[in-house]
Amino acid sequence: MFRKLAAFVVALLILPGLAAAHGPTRQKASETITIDAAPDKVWAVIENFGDMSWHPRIAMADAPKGNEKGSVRTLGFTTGGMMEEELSKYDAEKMTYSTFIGHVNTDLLPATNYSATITVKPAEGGAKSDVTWRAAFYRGYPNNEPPAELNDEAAVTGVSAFITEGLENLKKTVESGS
Amino acid sequence: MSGRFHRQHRAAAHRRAALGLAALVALATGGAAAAGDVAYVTSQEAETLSFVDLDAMKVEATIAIPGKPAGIAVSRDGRRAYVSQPEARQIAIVDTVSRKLVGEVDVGGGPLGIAVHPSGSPVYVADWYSHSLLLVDPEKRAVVGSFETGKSPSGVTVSTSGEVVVTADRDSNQISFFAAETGEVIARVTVGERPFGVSFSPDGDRVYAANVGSNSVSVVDARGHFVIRTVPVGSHPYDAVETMDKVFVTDQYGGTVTVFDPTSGERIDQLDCCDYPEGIAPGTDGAHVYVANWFANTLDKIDAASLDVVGSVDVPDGPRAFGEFVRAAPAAVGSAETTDTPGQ
Repeated sequence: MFRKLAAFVVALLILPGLAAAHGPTRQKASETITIDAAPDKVWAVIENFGDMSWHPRIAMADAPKGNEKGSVRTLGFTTGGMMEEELSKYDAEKMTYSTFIGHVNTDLLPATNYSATITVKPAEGGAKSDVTWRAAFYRGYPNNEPPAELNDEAAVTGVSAFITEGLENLKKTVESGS
Repeated sequence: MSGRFHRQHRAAAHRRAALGLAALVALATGGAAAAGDVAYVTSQEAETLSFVDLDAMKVEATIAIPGKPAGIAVSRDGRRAYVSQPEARQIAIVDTVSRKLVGEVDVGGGPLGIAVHPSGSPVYVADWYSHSLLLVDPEKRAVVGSFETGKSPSGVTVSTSGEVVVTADRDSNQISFFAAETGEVIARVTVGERPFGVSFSPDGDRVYAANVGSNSVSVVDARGHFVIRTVPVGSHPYDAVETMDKVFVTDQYGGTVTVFDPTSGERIDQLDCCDYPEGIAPGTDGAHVYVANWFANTLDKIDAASLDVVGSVDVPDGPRAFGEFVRAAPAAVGSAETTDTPGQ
């Protein structure tokens, strides 16, 4: 015990750099948009996991296993680059599903370990809809002293932008009837 | 996390009697009466510790704890809370009667999981970066030793007897059993992928390890040191505790609490209750379990018999409550002696 203690004290003295380490903490982002259409109209646009054409950054999507739990969709981005996203929860009755991206391409989204839930709920007595998209994730750089483009703030900003653009375009898509 | 049921059951009865007395005294003297259980909830984003009255499901007080607080441990007498502050590389010492931060101990590294010996000392702190379990003397407010764990230890728990300490060594896919007295390694047991939370069964026969990476809980024989079975649970389990002959598991990404039979491993239910549930702990009488919902910023109360959510309270942003975060309320200052239970 004493020998261990002595070794530990020495380690603390000679390794101040290591002692300064700490890990990243999980971040969250959440946004709700009100769409001027009934919930089933909105749900009809997003219900197919293999179709993410309602998001302006997505050029193509494909999910061979459809809407079953564990289904994986491949997303092709308009800027180039691909990512795979897994369907972890799907409930058509509640108009909600949850997804998970284990290996995020940080060029496309500056985060890691990204999980998200999108839910459609009635608003104003069912004449309109509230769509909420929430995500939990870690910053893009998992170790200490992240570069500015991959720190906590960049992760929140980046994911929030991805969500906002998606929801705004979903609103546009539904409300224009296209 | 609990691991102290049988004794606690008896102790709780003693304590309730003592508390009843203390409450009478407090009422007679016009002071605040000690109530039932209190939850000590760490909120990582808000950097706070909240004191929740679990009978009323009401936040009684919230204090600032800098450094992204995560782990929590409370002494058996309920008078001291210890909080890990990963970003500040410290642990905080909180007086739960005055509800004040009374000291900080610089431990270096990446302190995360935390537990306190039944005697009140030492405080065990899992250091994510040095791959060791640090022993902190809360009186001296200093690190006085360390045990060698596997890589990135996260959860830590102590047996009811105080003889055995167990760590979940996340990046080694194992749990380590230590003799508390000597630090000698009793066993290293390979479990599932990336075990995070770890706890003893109330009877001390089993240890549960929540495997974040393989969506399962390893049920480990606490005396023979082998895996009895691996039970599938929801997505990204965080922690598991046994109470009322059921094991409750928080599935972070699944948003569920999986409930299974401790002896057969068979699933009893999967509660679609929660929102990135993380810390989970039973109350002192075992009738309820409490779950911190990291995303929704709530603490939920689940009836361990009916499996219904029977209460919820808002807490500050990012509650983690990683550790044994529920204790009987401390007696008011001056009556502490009356609440000391035999056999501790």
